Amino acid sequence: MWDDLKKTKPLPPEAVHAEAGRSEKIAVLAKVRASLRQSLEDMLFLPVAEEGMFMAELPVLSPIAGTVSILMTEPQARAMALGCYAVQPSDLTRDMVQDMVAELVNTVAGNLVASLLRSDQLFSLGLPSVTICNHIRHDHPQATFYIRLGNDVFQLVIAGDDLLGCIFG
Amino acid sequence: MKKVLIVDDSATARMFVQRCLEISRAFEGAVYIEASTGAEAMQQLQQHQGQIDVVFTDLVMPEMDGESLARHIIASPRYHDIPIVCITSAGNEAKEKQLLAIGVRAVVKKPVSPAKLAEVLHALRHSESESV
Repeated sequence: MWDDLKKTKPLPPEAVHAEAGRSEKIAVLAKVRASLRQSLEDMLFLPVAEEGMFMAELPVLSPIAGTVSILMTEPQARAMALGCYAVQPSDLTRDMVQDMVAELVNTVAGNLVASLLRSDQLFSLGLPSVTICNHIRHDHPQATFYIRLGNDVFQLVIAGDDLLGCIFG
Repeated sequence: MKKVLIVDDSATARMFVQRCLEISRAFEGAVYIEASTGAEAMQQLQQHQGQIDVVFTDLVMPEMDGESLARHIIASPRYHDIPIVCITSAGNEAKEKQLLAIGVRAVVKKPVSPAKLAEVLHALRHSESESV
């Protein structure tokens, strides 16, 4: 192992800087979560379960670049998928839930971009991807919209200068 | 018996299109065949040759996209008579114009609804009966 380490090429300065920046951000996020958890537990006696959330992300490719993401809890996503597929809870698989969230972000992003452009402008979208995460972190500016759905709230996150520029001017 | 081919990489979208078609009663008693890629759709067309009445396809799909699939079908002497309806989230007037120009018969914007599909199919049948 030591030999392998010795053979590893040193990282270029910009990569070292980026890596340092990344670990700093992760450390900050850990502090944010810890303070939130402590406040909720101490003030409100609410036990905090840090479960992963479903994040569906879709890249907008042209003529404006950006990303549209939807973030929701697993119970929220399952409830939506149950309504959509009209199956018994025991028949609902995780793949069905992920596919439903992916299709939702696809439809939302398509409608959003179509509404921002002139009707004679062609546009293209990428393929959606779904991951389980605790937060959304984009390297570009982003705007988060909180949408109430029954007793729950889910997040729609729009990221990228082009896309945000079209929305906010 | 009518056979309807639904092509979409999303199982949710395929299920949704089928359900909308069933509710709209556009193809009563039809058999629904699914494909999750363009290549799979071409295989289904071959397997059910002469039996598929209409193809509903998504546009944005991995590998072969819906537009390429439509071009393949339209260019094929065996399948070029099958009407193609594109269902897409990346749709607007410009895209519709482009797809109709290559021979796609109708374009429906997601989210689909039974009423939207019924309207499109009614227009499609009307234009077919006029051209006979």
